[in-house]
Amino acid sequence: MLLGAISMASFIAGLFFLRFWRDTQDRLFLLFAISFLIEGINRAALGLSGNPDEGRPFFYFVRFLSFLLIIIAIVQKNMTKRRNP
Amino acid sequence: MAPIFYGLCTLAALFCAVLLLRAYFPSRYKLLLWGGICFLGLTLNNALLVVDKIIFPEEKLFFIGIDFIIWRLLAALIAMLVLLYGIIFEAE
Amino acid sequence: MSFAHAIVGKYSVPAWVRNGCILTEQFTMAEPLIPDEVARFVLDKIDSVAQLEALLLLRNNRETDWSVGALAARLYIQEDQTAQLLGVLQAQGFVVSKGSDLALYRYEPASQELHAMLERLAEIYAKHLVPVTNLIHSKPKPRIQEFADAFRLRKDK
Repeated sequence: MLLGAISMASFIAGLFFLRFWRDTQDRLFLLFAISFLIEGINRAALGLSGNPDEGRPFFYFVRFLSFLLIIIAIVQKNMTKRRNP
Repeated sequence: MAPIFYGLCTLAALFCAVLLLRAYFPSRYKLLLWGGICFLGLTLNNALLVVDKIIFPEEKLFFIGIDFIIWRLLAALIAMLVLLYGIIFEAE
Repeated sequence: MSFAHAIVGKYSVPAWVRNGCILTEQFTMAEPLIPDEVARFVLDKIDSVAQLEALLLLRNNRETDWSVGALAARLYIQEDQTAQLLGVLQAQGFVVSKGSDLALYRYEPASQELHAMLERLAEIYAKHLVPVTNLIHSKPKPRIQEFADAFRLRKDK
């Protein structure tokens, strides 16, 4: 199923971002990692639920959360840019 | 409710795509290009979801719009594959 | 050669780099040519020799607004590399962009601290070029950092 493939790809991307965080100590990568990992879980849950309707609150809320993490990553990157270029 | 949240997700994804592609042009670091394309794909995925939820607000979409679902998911899948390609081969 | 490592800030650099020894047949531990705070400043802010040269060039010509092309020509590097390091310098608060389309750059440090540290670094660099460049090159710089840097918005946005 397409959802399974997307979920796997999201997970793997999340793992790579974890590695980038380890390499650079840049918190943006940590937040991106968590974002992609929870999206991976979200897609998997959607696939496993048997009903592919993304209109249900759980799914759109988790998706929103994952993007919120990315926005937070961007915001914090720009607030601390003087200390940590 | 769903269209609002997915609409915000669309905007967030678009924002990321713009930032990544904007950074790609001066530096030519390929991962920025693939990342930008990934987020464009995610923008499309979420935008189509918004459209979907507005046109088909009920859950029974197995008969109506089944092709629509596949296009949506394909957009997301291709986006993620492009990102993974970039990370694996171009991240240095 | 001793493989002892010296910790400077969050970086672990080989001791001989930290102490600024010029490589000769004897690898003796000399007095640090580069004081701790300056070394930390270099490791935190300076990613490449080209970036330092660009910064010093802009500082030496404080009254001039430089375009990317002019700077690239003076430094003998590619324009896209110049644009990228100017972007970094701007985000760090060393330079600001000017002109009607913000394509010109001028040295205008955001704080007195930055300026003071750069002055010290300039002095040391003039006297001990090789140790400073060794220090810059000792910092590992994974290119993936550019991905995170892409999300830095310009100061004036």
